[in-house]
Amino acid sequence: MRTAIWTLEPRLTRGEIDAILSTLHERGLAAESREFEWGWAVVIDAPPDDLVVPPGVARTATADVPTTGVMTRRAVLEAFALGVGVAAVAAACGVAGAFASSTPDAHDTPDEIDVASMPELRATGSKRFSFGREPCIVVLKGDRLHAVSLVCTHLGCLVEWSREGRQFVCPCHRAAFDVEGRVLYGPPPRALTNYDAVVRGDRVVVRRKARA
Amino acid sequence: MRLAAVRTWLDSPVAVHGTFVRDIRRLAVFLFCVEIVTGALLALYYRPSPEGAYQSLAVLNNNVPFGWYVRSLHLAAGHGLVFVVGLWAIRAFFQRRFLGPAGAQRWSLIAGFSMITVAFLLTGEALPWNQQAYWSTVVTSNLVEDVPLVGHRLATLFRGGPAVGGATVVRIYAIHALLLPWVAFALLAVAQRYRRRGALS
Repeated sequence: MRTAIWTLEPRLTRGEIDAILSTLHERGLAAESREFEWGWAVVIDAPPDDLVVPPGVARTATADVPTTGVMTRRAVLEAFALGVGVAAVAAACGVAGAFASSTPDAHDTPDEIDVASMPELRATGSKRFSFGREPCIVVLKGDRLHAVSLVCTHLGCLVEWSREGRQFVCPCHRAAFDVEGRVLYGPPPRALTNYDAVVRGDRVVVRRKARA
Repeated sequence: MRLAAVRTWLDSPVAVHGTFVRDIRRLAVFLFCVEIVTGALLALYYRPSPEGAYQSLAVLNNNVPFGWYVRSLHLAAGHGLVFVVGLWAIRAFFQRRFLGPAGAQRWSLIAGFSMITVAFLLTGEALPWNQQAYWSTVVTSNLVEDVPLVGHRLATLFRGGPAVGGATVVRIYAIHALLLPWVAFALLAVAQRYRRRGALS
């Protein structure tokens, strides 16, 4: 592609250079001002033959710039923007795909867990364990097993099993539950979550209650 | 070709000054699209029941990849939408868009969009079904109760019973995820028709 280079007189102000540029732009030409070692110049792509050189231009020159294998600045920027856009869309799809392909049931707690051995429980009377995230306890009272959650139904404090009082006591707001988790007194709105505790051979197994 | 149209659209000049105010409706539509996408993703995990709601969101936040991110995005875009629609309404008020031949239509649309955005916010806020959600739902249901004449029936319809309870979560979820989006789509279609005619600007 042919390119014209108009070297400008050094006395020209920025405004006068811009005026030259805008007349060229009005003709629909791709022109820009550029600073070379010898001063400011206006560079015009593919100048027509009838282009009138305005006053203020010290000398003119033309050069042949190869166009094959050369990308314009605009094309480079467009390719970059396209790349960024495609990458952003791909990342969004990846996030959505990873999000959607999780299996929520795998995060559920198992339906039953082996908690303790019967002799151990007879010795200690109670044993704490975790049902998924939930801290729980299994209590042997008489010859009956009770498995309840330790999370208070009021504001989620952990209740403590009081062996002497034979009840669960919440230290936060003076509440108490009986061994089966029923509210004895205090602000909790409902009983502690209950689980089924069964003896299987020598082991104590706690099961989630069948869902209603 | 379709691609040429996209090209023309991308190459069309953009005003340098005051674009935020000028494009505020476009921004609102963009945020609404974000809400649709993230909302559809969240619906894959959310369980609309009093026991399941909080638990399913805990799983979403802690176990699902990018779960916290999608949820935060839904929340942030929702709050952004309220902000942007509010700004739009304020701008329309100070620019006196309610005057002129198409003023009443315009203002009705603005009021409609404002109300539906707040409805989205109120119902969405209740979905985690924690303490804050519960009590904000009680407040909302009391507000509905105060509507003259039909207030009590409307509140019962909203709660799914005489008091806020387990049925209410399902109702709120249905309103948030099924009812309101279609109302929003309808409003957007009406707005688009006005815009074509040049009434809305």
